[in-house]
Amino acid sequence: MTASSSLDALYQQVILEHNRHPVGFDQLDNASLIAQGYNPVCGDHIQLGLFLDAGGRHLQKLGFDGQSCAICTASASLLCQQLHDLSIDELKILVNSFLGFIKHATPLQEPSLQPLQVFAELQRLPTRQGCAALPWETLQTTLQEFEVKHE
Amino acid sequence: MSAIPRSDSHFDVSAWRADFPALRRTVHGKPLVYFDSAATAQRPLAVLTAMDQFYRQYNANVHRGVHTLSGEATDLFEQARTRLTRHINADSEREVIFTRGSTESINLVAQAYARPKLQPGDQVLISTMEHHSNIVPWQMVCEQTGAELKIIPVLENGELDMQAVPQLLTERTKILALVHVSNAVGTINPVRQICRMARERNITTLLDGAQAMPHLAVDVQAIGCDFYSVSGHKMYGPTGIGLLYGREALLDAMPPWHGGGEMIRTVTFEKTTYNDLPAKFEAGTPNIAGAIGLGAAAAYLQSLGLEAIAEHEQHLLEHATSQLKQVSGLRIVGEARHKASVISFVIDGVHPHDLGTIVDHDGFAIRTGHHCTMPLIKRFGLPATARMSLGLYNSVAEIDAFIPVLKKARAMLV
Ligand SMILES: Cc1ncc(COP(=O)(O)O)c(C=O)c1O
Repeated sequence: MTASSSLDALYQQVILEHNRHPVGFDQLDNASLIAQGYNPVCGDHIQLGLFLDAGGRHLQKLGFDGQSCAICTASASLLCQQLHDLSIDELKILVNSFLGFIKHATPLQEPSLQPLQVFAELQRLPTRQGCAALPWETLQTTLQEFEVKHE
Repeated sequence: MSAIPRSDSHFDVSAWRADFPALRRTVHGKPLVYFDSAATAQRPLAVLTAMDQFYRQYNANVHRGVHTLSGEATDLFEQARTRLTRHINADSEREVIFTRGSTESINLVAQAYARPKLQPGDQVLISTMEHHSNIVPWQMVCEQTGAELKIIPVLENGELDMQAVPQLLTERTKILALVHVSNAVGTINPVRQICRMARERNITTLLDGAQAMPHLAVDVQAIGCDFYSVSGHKMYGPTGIGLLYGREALLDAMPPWHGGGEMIRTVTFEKTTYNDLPAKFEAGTPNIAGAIGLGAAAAYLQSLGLEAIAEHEQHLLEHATSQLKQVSGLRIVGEARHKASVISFVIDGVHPHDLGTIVDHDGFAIRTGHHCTMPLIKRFGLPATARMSLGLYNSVAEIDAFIPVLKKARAMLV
């Protein structure tokens, strides 16, 4: 692959568009939980808001906020766009699936994760995997903590 | 001084570049343009050859054997120390300790000098501009002793707030630890002036010289500091080797830091006596090839002439600064009056991390992030910057080629 085509594969129009107009951005008001995500390599910081139903076992929607690169912003945006109205257990499976896709190139099976295929180029670019993973890892950590508290 | 030919318009750097084999490679099919020397510089052949020759012909442990190779290895190792002693104008070889780099040098001073001395309520003064390696060791020693960390603020233009310094040098200040040249924004601090102010108040000074060594002729006696830390790999030498300069009277009075071979005179189970300087602070088999490589790096810099290097780099700095300002939405972070050829910048709507990846695809290696200076980057209200750091082998043509790539990145993302 030439340099410019691998760059185009990384920064696909979908990613650039989500970076310019992120879904769920700046929508944290009244979130049930706010999770902090931090990438010590680059200093990026995002906040993820979880909107849960009264029982706390069902996610209505997600929102996010923060300063992050295009890859991270688009990843957070697609996360908010694709993951809503799910049980906590369903949510966990999807989060693990996406992280496996980015870091270990395991195929994305779930229909709701198909738009995330746009990040496939990252499988060849370990230096930037953390950028796409950050919102999802933030969610994963929060779900684990949440689990401990509710057991 | 060098015999490098000068062209009419500006300096022709091609002869210097030819000394660096790594610069001949390509990245993503494009010629490498290495703008990340502040993270680590490339090494010239002189350094590579000196290390290779050592391993091929002289390899033996130092200060130990009676056999020929051991004697030769010891001579080469100590010749490197002598060269470096002269390079920084230390008073004697006893004042020049080989370490793993600036980080280890600062930790050595924090633990072996400061820790036994500091009392609860004492103060250690650093600045907002410090690399994490000149923050964390002091936080650790403050934690251990009950001393307090105080911070010299940085102004919007990236200079130290010199007006704040006199009030911060109090009776309780025991140590002032300051970066000589900022790795993040390039500021050259007025170290002579500050060391004089500290000396008048009996405050011990440490300068973090990691970024000064590749750009400036450093004379530790003229500067008047007590300690000075050096990283080999920033001054075109190998990784894993550096120096701690310390005034002999201070080093002499300090207890050893690491224990082991080399740093002892006699060992019995009842009592161990320690070796003289500098061996007292060099426990274990040292990085012999690294030290020899670092000596070769100093010799290389002297063969080009530090004035010639500085002149070339200042020309690059001015050119790059004015060219960068032509890129719309670009803002330079840190515009101190005295700067080394290190430029941090941000572009509206373009995250530094994306910029780093995009320009890499055109062969340009830049650093993006917080540059291990999180408090400084935060001071400017930013999460990260892009940094272009120019070394002796960079050229005006490389800078000119960079500008359209920046414009392209902006067009792509904004
Ligand atoms: C100003 C400054 N101080 C200290 C260090 C630490 O040097 P080393 O990692 O070689 O110990 C660096 C390296 O990035 C630096 O730029």
